[in-house]
Amino acid sequence: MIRSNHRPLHLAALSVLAVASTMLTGCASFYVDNGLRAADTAQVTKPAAPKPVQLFFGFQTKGGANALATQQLKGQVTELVKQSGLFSEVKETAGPDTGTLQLTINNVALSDDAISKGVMTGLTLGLAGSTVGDGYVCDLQYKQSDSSPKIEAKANHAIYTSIGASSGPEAAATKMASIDEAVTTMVRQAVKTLLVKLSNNPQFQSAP
Amino acid sequence: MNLIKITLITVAALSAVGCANITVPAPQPTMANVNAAKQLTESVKLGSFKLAAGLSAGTDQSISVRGSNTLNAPSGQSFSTYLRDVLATELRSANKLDDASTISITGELTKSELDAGMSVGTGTVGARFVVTRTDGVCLDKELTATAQWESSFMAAVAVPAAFNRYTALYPELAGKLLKDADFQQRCKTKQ
Repeated sequence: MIRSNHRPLHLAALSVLAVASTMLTGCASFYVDNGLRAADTAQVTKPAAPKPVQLFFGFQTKGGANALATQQLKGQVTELVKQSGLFSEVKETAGPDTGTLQLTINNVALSDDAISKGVMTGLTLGLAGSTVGDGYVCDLQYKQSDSSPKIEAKANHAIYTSIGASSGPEAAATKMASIDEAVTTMVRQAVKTLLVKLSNNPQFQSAP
Repeated sequence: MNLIKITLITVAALSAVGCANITVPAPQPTMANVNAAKQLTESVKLGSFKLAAGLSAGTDQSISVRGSNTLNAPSGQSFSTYLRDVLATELRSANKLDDASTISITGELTKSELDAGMSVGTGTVGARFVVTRTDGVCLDKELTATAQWESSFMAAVAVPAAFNRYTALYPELAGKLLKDADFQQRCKTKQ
């Protein structure tokens, strides 16, 4: 069964279709939306005196916690936060003078409604024929201390799968060599986008 | 191995043998529960967690939906000890777990239910928590976490969703204890 464009579909169903298609025709191509591509070359603004932070990461599917995906992706997310240089240390436990950073990636259906509201990026381009997509709503929340104001940032991303011999969404997305690369690219660009936004926030830079 | 690969493996397993058989992943701390634990006036220790009397032993080892699609407790453990691990993870992340504490929490798993219906999925996990101080029991309470979600006629969609939602009930249940007003007020030794 091949679904048409703009139909709500989440990752598992998308993967089912991809596998089914692969079994039948031997090909499924994966694309990452171009909307956050600039994150790969963007630079964070490091604070003068970085503080330690306790990191929380959660992957969700339609707003519900997805523990298996969280476990699989937490290592990559932790490394990205460490590499950013925004914090002196990324910790597992609470402590004095330790802020809290929560990163959430929520896998949502790319519904007509979401697109019409402009929630997602680049999704009105390229989706045709047997191409399906998954959206990722990414949130960051940071607090320097329990009594500090919360700093928030948001970003949206998407992965498309083009099934069979039809052309993919090249106008709006970049083709990946594998589904592994698609997911790691999506996570990297989303998290880096959020960290750049955090680093550009005057409240973050002015924290004592 | 990433998310999609996991799904693909699950799908491949479903295609090959008609069922999925996976193990519940290791607990991860949640910000809401850690924040709740940080509000405790003092650290606690965890005692034994076991299956409540009257429930079949299999309830503590695995749970199945849509035939033989099975979510297993961690190797060598049980769902009741998984609940203990979840609670320990939250408390440890908040620096509120201390084996020398005079406040001890024990638990019994009283409910473990999961249904991946064709349109709606439901799940429930319940536990009786008993908290003791040196002067006796300060809390004896059964708490329950429930969830309802959009399911699917496609097993390859419905089964992972059911397993995810069921797993998420454990930190939710732990959070119910950590945020319980009776627990916070009655079970402290310092004023």
